[in-house]
Amino acid sequence: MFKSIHNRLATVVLVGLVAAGSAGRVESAGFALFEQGAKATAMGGAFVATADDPSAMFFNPAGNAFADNKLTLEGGGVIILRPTAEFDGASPFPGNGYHAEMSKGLYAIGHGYGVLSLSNDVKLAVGFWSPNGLGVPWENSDTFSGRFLSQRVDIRQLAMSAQLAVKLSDSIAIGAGPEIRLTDVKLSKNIGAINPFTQRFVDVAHVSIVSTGTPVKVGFTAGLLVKPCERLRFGIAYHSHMDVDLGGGAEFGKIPTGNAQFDAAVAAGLPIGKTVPGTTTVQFPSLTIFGMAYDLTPHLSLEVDGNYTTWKVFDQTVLRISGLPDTTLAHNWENTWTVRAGVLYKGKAGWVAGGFVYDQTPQPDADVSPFLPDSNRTGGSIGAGIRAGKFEFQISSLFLWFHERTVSTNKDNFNGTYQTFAILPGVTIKSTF
Amino acid sequence: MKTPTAPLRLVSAAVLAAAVALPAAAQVDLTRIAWVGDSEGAGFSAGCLTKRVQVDSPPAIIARTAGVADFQQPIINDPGLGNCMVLTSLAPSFGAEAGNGTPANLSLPRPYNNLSIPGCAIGDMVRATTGAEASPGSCRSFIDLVLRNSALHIGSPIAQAVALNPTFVFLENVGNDYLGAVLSGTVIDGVTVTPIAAFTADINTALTTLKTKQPKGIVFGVADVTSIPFTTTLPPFLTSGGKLVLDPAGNPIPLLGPKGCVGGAPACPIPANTIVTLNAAAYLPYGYGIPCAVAPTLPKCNNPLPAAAIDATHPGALIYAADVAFLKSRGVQYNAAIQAAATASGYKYYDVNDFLLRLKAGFDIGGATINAAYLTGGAFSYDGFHLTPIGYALLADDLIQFMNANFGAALPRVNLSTYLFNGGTNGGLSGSSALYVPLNGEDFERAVQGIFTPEFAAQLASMFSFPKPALVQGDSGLVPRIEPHHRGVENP
Repeated sequence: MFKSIHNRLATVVLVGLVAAGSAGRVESAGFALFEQGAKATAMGGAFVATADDPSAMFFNPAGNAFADNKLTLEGGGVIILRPTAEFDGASPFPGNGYHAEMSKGLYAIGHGYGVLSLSNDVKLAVGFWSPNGLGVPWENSDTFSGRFLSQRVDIRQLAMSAQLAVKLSDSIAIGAGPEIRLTDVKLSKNIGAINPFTQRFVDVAHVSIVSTGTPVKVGFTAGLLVKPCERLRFGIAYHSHMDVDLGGGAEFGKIPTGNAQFDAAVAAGLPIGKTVPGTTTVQFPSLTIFGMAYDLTPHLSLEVDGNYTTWKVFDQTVLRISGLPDTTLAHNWENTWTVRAGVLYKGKAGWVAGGFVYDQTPQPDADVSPFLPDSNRTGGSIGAGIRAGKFEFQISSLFLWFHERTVSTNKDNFNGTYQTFAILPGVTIKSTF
Repeated sequence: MKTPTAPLRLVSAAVLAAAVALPAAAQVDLTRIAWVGDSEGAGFSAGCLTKRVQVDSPPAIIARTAGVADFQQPIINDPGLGNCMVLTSLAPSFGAEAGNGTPANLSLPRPYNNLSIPGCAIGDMVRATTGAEASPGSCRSFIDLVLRNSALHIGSPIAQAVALNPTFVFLENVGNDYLGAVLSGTVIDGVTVTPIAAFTADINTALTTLKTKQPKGIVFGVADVTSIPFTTTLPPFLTSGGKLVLDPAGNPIPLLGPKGCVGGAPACPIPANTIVTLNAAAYLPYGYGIPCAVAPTLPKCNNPLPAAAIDATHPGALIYAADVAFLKSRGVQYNAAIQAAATASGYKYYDVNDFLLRLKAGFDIGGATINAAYLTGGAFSYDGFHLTPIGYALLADDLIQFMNANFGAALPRVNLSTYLFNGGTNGGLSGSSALYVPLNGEDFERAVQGIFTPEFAAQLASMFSFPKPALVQGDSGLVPRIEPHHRGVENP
């Protein structure tokens, strides 16, 4: 028995951890991630009032109060494919006719949950997921026209939580727990200058900024699930906002221009080959999820959700580099709404689901850049779950159309049109005991 | 009264719709541009007029961007005329290319669209038809290459612009009516500075004449000639390796000039509000302007920097505060006269000083900063007062935005990439690396420090989103950040 539990636990956790170890790419507006379980993803992320799956740890911690089994384990991940991730420039810079693409590398995010029944009405849930992530790597980064703004940026964040879910009555449950987040950041870009000998703008150095250590920040998450009648359910969940303090260093590498005098002048002014320590704080927003689910028939359910994300906290980034005055980078993001809808058909052998999502971007035109070119998104999703004994194998896929975004007022005067289409196939394995 | 028939109504509606639907760009017709101007309009740069920069003159860039099929210029084949300056080391030192370029478009049987003539002032644009009638200097040298009146017999630049039957006019005279005072270091109203009365009469004549042929046009204001790298790069204090040289009390040491000296002394410290022009670069290495107490080995130490031209080849290097105030005042008067004439003619007034102020602050272009810093800013050429192709492209783009805003046009913006990364569409200012001069030892160290001014450091830092520091490392600790400069003086 224990060996069996151990093996199944290892299976589901391993699936999640492997996925979580990869860099995430933002697939909910801003740099938030919402793909925390195949079943929820199949329903377009409209899951706060359903929450009948261990991924309720993210979607609504109260949902686990209604878990029937002694122990339920779940683990999986989502792969992010971007068949289209392109940029077409506009004049004055980088100019009409300029075209660039993001690298087509695979990205993955992972999740793993376990729900243990402490009593009929009290459940303990532990798990991890990736609430935020960002990966924007540009192809041909040494010649990419935006290389002086960003060649590649990666933000990874892993959340871990232990939650208690309590069934107050047959129709009301609550759940809550601390949420511990681990974050790291990497970004790289080139530095350029006018070569006095040629009066041309040339690359003189490359800088990589890497956070060191893994800063830990603690917030909390909570949820409420209400079933006022047999067919109707209301849910609301909340994840708190966190300011994560990051420390690290900027490493400078020299790019020879071919002119020894100029190269020496540059080397005299930049800490080539050294790491300059620095710190910054990244603000991660709070997220409120609320929604309503209705069973049209005993087998067919419909859920409609709304999400409210307080992206306004991401108003600026202050860089504190050793030996230099603080620098403030303005973002001026806005709070956003997301609308999600899902339909779920449950049969004897499993379930099938479909969903829709419209996700509003928090990013103003001025901030849209190679660092993070965000836009509104419309998505459609499908998925299915098949039960096999104590296991349930879930698959899903989200098709996400980033609305074409043409920017002419970027604060760095890097303007043009961004186009992205992403496909996010996912798999989750659930095991019950 | 007859009512229109159905087909007629349809045609009328279609015509009306077509009129309403005319593209906004149609509000400006650049089919036949007439640009009457000076060296900046000509694409003069780094002391020369040459094809590899002329192709990126402001009117040429505007015409190319707008898709104008026939835009003609008085192209001079490379290496051009006037001996293009080449930076040979970061000392800095300069070489000169040959100045034997030949005209490439001399037989065009009509006036050029670009009628800009280096060195010409407003009076030349109105009246001069040949070199004999033009102001001495560059205008006299270049005017016949542009006007070609021995063949065309049309007349002055303004007359040739009218003869073009232009669809749009630019009148660009940004400073030659008083720039000569700065370049020669000799400020005399009526001699090196055009009197305001004469200027006013000529600008009125020019715009009155032009508007009778084409009512749509732009007239430039004049630039503040005391705010260009030629006059702002060097501080009035001793420097070495880009840093202030401080006395034992920690104060900067003023350079020496000839005015206001007590007791008939030939040289004394210049006031801090004195402009030291780039002409001083020819004098400082010999000790002019430097106290012997600081550099006793320099042969001309304790001699003043000249405050007026000594002769044709030895210009003045100082402009004292009273003359600076006069030049600023005269610039304001010129611009008031231009604005009044513009209002009377219906031409739009383009404030070139506003452009220069924004250029000083720096244009951020996709993470690249272009500003007015000498040598490292990217916008001003080696002569310190003409723009580079990058600078001309920025000016052309600014003009396009001005036209879009003031004429209801929708002209496309200039694509800046090729200017930034290639120096221009035809190579720009890159000189031959064969002319580069190696620097060794202290000279090299000083040059490296000199070129890496606080502004250059700030520019690099801005790529990394660093603001410029308020204090920099001086010889005796941190000192307030000063304007950039690039001349070492102790070991010329």
